[in-house]
Amino acid sequence: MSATRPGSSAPLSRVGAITGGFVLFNAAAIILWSLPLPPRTMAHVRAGLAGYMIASGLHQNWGMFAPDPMSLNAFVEAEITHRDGRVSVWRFPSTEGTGYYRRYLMERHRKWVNDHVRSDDDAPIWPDAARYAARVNADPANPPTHVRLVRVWSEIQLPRAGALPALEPWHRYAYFDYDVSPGDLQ
Amino acid sequence: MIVGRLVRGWNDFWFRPERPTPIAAYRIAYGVLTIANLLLLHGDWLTWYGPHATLRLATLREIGPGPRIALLSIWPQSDAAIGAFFWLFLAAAVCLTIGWMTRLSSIAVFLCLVSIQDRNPYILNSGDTMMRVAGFFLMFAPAGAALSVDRLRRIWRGREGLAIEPRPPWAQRMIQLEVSVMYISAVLSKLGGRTWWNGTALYFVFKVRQFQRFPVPWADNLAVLRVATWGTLLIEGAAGVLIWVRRVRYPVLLAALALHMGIEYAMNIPLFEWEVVATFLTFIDPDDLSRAWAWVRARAAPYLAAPVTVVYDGAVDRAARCARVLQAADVLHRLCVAEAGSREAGGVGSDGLTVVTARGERYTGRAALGALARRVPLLWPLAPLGAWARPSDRGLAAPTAIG
Repeated sequence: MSATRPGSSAPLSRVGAITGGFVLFNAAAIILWSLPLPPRTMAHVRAGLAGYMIASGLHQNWGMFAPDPMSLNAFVEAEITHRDGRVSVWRFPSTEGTGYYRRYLMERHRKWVNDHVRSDDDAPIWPDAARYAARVNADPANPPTHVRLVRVWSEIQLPRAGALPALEPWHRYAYFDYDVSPGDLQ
Repeated sequence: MIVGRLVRGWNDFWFRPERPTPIAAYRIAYGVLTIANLLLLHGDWLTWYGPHATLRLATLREIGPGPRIALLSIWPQSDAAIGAFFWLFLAAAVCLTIGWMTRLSSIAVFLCLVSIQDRNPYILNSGDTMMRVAGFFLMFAPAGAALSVDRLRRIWRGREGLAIEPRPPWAQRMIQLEVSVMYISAVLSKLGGRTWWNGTALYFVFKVRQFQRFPVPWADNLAVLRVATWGTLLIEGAAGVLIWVRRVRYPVLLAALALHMGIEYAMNIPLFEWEVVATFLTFIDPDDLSRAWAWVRARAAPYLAAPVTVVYDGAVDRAARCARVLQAADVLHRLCVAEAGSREAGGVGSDGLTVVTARGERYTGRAALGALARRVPLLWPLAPLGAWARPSDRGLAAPTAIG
């Protein structure tokens, strides 16, 4: 498509044509990348565009609270075994129980812990999370030797007619063990 | 025939020159939000991005191969160096906000932003995504063509007049397209979920304790929550599609603004709502933006410093340039700039530049700068000078132009 100046039929410069091509390509790429297409089509489209979208910083995902919002309250704890055998429990930072301003600052901790450290999809980051827990709890006189990551969660239930829902019981599940090496604590 | 019309429509939409004030206003909002984001992150710069960050560089390289913009991956890995990176980033964001070396600072901000997002992708929300994709197109936009130090410098050098030149808006249109795609994609993604159809989605959203901010009185009322859940879909859908229809654009923007302010009240998702709402500026017609600003200015006038007349000697090149720059920077309309000897100057003479108040006080030199600093937002950092500014003369006749 050759770009023309508005209100005239004179062709634009080469720069104008390149700009037009750039616009067309990016608009098409953004639409194809972002809109939910049938899974097989989506896989092909994403495979073809991934290189450009990631390298340019244009990759995006707008599935906020989709397809359904999370229906549980959850957090992650670290059971830390120290050299003398003592076990302490450390809760990863969260926004819960903090004041309005502090909560604002802590949102990224919530994102990291609740959406990723807790998730099976992000298993590759579990060792780093365990190392972080060990480092934060490092006592030079009694250093951590082992970290166990534990998911803690409670389902959110819809209220039954005329009554507020009772809070479901809290569940615990240990999902990752990590032996701490001295280098992890530096 | 049809092809020709399509081509003309395409070119009009992307390339027909428009006054760049909306994209310049967005640049300022973008810069302020970037600064706010960096300051909110400040206590955790090293936690997320330092040499011992929660995500090690080695892990990042294993899980995210391929070419990408990742300055922090090649940056020296020490606490001091990482801190320096963020201070440089902050400096670039300040430059972008005031529009100084706008093109360069927009590129620097984008590169830094993508780099920190790439260094730790596990702490990002959709607001970060919006800032990244909008930042990409902001690099190409004429964001410094208005409301910027760059423009004042061009006026000082005589390269530009007081009228703001229209520019092709294609980069601004790309940001608009991003906003539209965001809403459409958000709605379509939600339509795959059961709770959005049966109207209970917001019940679960409000019950996640870590999201909670201020109390929501009807958080247990399923009838109200159904209306709110479906209303959310309706508003997001309208914001994605109807935002392109000029006739209904502003009502749609207002509805979307109400939605985002509601989320901001009820939920703790820092900056996301503001980062999206800021993009609405790109949808406002330049003339409407001027009218809206005039309305704000009129309402703010009683709380601002009283207007003054700036009298300059047209024969002194430096004074004349200064006068033009002040005219362009006077976004609050606190100045009446008049050449000495003109009717507006009312017989007030000037060797260079003299500021005259309605009470007839005259300020020259540093005192004049102090008097101007309280009236021109760009000079606000110099406002303390005004506290020591003493008029060189008092009780003289005021210029007729004031008021």
